Amino acid sequence: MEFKTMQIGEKEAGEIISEIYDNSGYDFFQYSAPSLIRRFQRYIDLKSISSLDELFTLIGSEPEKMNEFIEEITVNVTEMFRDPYFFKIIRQALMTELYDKSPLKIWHAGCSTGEEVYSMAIILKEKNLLKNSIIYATDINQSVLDIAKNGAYSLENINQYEKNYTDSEASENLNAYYEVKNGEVVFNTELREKIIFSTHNLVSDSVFNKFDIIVCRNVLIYFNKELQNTVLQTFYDSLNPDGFLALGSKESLLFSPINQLMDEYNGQFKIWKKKG
Amino acid sequence: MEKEGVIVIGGSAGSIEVIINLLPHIPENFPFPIVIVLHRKSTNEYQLEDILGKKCKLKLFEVQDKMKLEGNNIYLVPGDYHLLVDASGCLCLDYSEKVNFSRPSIDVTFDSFAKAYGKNCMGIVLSGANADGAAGLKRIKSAGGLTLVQSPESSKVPTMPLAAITISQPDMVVDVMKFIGVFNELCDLSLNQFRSKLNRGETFENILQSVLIVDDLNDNLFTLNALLRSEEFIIHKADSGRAAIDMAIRNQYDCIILDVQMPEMDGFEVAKILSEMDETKNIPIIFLSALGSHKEKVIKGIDCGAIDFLAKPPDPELLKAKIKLCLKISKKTKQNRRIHSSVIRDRDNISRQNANVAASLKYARNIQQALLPKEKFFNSFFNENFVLYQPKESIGGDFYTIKEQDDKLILICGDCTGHGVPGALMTMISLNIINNLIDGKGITQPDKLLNAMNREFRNAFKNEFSSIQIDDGVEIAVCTFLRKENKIQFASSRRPILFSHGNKLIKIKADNIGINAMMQEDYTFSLKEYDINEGDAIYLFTDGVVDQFGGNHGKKFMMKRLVELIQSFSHKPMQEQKSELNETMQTWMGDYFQIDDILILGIRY
Repeated sequence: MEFKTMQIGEKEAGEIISEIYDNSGYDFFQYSAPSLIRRFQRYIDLKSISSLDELFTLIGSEPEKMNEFIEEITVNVTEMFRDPYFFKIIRQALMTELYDKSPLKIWHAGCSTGEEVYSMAIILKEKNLLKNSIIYATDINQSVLDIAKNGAYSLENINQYEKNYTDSEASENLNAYYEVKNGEVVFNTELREKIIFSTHNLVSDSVFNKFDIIVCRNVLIYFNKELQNTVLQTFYDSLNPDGFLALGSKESLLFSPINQLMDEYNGQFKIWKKKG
Repeated sequence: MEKEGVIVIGGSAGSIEVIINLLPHIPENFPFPIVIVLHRKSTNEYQLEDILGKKCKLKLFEVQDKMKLEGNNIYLVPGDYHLLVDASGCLCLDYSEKVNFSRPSIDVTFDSFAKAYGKNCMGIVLSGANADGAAGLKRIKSAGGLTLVQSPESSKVPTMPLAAITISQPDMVVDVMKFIGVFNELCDLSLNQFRSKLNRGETFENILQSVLIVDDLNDNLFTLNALLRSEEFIIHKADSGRAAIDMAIRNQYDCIILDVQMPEMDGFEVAKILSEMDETKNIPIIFLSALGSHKEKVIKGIDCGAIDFLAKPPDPELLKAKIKLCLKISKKTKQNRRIHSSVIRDRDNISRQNANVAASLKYARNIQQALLPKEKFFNSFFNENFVLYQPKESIGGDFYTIKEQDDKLILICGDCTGHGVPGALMTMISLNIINNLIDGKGITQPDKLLNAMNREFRNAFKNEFSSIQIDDGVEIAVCTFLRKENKIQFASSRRPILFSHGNKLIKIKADNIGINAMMQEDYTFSLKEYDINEGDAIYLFTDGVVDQFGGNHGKKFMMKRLVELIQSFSHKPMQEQKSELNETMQTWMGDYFQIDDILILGIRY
């Protein structure tokens, strides 16, 4: 007989969100309900929890437990050169529009475990732009940032990564940029040197710098419409004139107030340019 | 506010063709939005939504995050995202872990719609190579929504439909050809009305027919397709005999246009093969031949199972008219087949029900047997005895019992009106009343017992609240043995008793009043008392014996014959008497049916 865990519906989700806020200050009130509820259910099933009290006791017992809970309910799925064509377009944009920026400032908002940040660094290195660049990589979770800082990833995905890299029409081989140490893929130090990792909560924190490229892919889908618009405004305010904003391939500015203030650079891959 | 409804379709390998064939036929007035989840990666090679969008009259969109479900638009999930819906009908994208190795996962979407729409959604599972969607479809069903699965036989890859059928037990399993029928029905009905129609067992007749054209030259297929394109039937194409046979087995085509000259397998061979298989032998075939239609060819064609034979290039009007005729014929054939299946189904149902009833009766018989004392039981009271009990059906309306009260023994034999189930029920009631009167009230004198029984029977069936009147009753013979005094008392309602006393066989007459629920007044039964000696015998019996038809002239056995028979062997051992009685009855009955329950009790004091 399968152990039946508690079923999370809208009511339970509401209570959990309140508990999280009261306990840790993290604000999930404006996250998109269907996704968030699925994440809660996933954690409940993972830990075989049978009641809200049991959950609250667990996550309230110490800050570490709460952090672990937050990590589990946020989605951290990512890979090197995810949506390879996107990186091809970025390469083009860099070469045609941003090649003479110094310093070239890039912000990866919601960088997760860092694979896409390293992908960006590799592209910059290929085009000889890395030395003049600074990449800010931020995320809500400290632990995924720690992994990102390390720059070391499991060997098992390397074939997929190499395929993605090739699909992005790269001129070289991915293995020029990493070494295999202790059964792990470790990216070259020179890539890491230009990346600043820091926690940043898109819900609560606002503009902290100005950038030429802001990349935030498949993060906004977990926010509701109101929160999306708030965050998009923050991005707009954090862009230099003629700066680029890149979202996930099925995310949109269409319903946001900043839509009028941006030109569409690539419709297929949702890259916009701030109007000068 | 009640949501109106949404159709959610999930599929994998082999399902794009289904969607492509379905979309052009979804009418403009279709009332619900449709969400399509196909297992797909994100790709830059082609835009699936453009290809599909061109096929249909309705607007088709690839979902962007937070797009709202509206009108009767069609929404296609983007590759490599999960699709969710929130309570307000907003489509949300999600990039979390793959589920069932898939992203998009059909389970994820079905789950989400089950939660948000409940009974206002219909989930459909199509062809595919894994079990994604099965658990999700079950959730939709649990939430009260409608569930439909493409039949495995008509699926290119049946794995997904099979899993969905096994796990979710959907409301409908539908041949791919009939999908458009479902969608047409939904144009006029709400999901609720559709569900009611399903529950009432009404299937939909609005089925789009289909035609297969077979030609080894693609140009010909293309031309013919363009020529014949119609709102009234779907066209499939095959470019070889082999392919044609394959497709014909899987799909219930209503007409096949068959080219004769084909390499590997010509049209005649194909027709011959199709005519030999049950699944395909009824499909009307029209031959098209580039080499003209001479008499011999036409005859050969018809021999191979074709309905008609035309020369290429065919006159378009003529061909269309002939196809129309084939469609008409096919419709009739399929109708007949459906009626036939329905009759077979009913017949099987009835057989099953009969078997159930028979089994039930058999069980009831065990219960009844358990309530009637066995011969062995009588041995503790009497030196010798026999019980000859042969109900007409598994269970019967005759009964008997023996009760001990103080130093008295009461032997009772009864015949309730009716046999079978009603009779058996009456025996239960009678035995119950008897037990109450003897054990509860201590009544042992036969006539007093019958008087009391009469009253109790009336009371048992007196029901001011019901208009049903039970006019059934019972005929009973009661003997009470006063063992201390060696006397025997008799009273009887319509049942004669035979008393072998010494050398004489005394026929004890009964009162001609039956014990009956409709009796308005009390009745006083008469009591007869005799001395009884060791060796005397008593015979109680119901009228099954004397009323039995048989013999050489089909007459009743009659009391006279019974009396003579018993007189002839009354000094033989009881078990021997039983054998003789049994044999005599069987011989007398011969080929005649047993008309009533047969019960004879014989005891020797």
